[in-house]
Amino acid sequence: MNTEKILLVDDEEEFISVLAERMQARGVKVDAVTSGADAIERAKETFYDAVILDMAMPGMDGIETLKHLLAVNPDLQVIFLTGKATLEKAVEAVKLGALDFLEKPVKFDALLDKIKDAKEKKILLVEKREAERIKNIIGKKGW
Amino acid sequence: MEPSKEENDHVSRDTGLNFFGTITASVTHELNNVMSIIEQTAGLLDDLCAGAEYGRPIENEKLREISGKVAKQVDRGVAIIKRLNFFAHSVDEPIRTFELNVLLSNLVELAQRFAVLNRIRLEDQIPEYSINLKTNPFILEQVVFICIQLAITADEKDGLVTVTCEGLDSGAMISISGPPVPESEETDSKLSLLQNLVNELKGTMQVTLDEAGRSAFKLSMPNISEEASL
Repeated sequence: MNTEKILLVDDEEEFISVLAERMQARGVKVDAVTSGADAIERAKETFYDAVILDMAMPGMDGIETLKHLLAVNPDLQVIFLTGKATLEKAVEAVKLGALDFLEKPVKFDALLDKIKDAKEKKILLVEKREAERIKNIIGKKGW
Repeated sequence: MEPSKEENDHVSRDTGLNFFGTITASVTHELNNVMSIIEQTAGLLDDLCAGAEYGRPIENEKLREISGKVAKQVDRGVAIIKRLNFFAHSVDEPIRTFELNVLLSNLVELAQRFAVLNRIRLEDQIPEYSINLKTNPFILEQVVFICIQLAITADEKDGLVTVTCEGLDSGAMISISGPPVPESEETDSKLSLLQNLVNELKGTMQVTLDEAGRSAFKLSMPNISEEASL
């Protein structure tokens, strides 16, 4: 059973509402917000497996939101949803640390696959960080 | 040395294409959002059908809700396409008589997405009665759009930009007012382009700052003949 926990960020309320409903029906836990500022607040409170982020939003755009999200949690896996016009920005986002991007209109199964990838990557990163932490403790104690 | 007519025509054509591209890109982005919602809603319907095959009943209320969502997005898409179609026809003839109030209302709708992305409210306060103007509609749209672009770049978030117009004896007056326009090289370059386009339409432009600190572009546009535009 899927137990991924994700955050949907898009100013198109109807879009995130229907997407959230479909994901929840598949066992994915979903939070949804309509602005970058709200996304940052949520990311401070919750450790998500993935954030699905729209590129073009009022106020803080996707790239700005990504920078803030990664400052809150560098391990956060962010998947961008983008139109053709913002494809170059999506490439820039991946260089900045986003996991991947998908072009709108997005295929639902492709998005679910990306979320699974994101969760696996997050687990690897957390395990790696934990292993480093334990190695540091052992090194300091001189055991 | 003054630029030749051919050089001016070249600049004018590039500027026009650029404007056409900007509007088309924005409209297609909006249509893409509409399609995304319809696609996911169709997917939701598929999910429900798949559930029904396993004995989970579909409630009528749910189906009505879904068909309502699709209908709403179809209406939205149709309105977007109508606006783009109206805009595309503004290049049909270089000079013609048209209803200025209708053209401006359409342009304000086309510019809404740009305003929303800048967190600025854009409203038309255009009279519903006909105001006829004879000029180049496509260049006039560029002129008004540049004024809107300048007005929505203001730092004042959640500010209000309004577009109004009134008929004059031999033309029309268009006003775009909003928060003060920030000074920058980009502003200067847009203002210079704006002045050239206004000159092409034989019009005049005034940029004022009122006591409340709101800036206003006042465009006086005369009726012009086909010969005058050559």
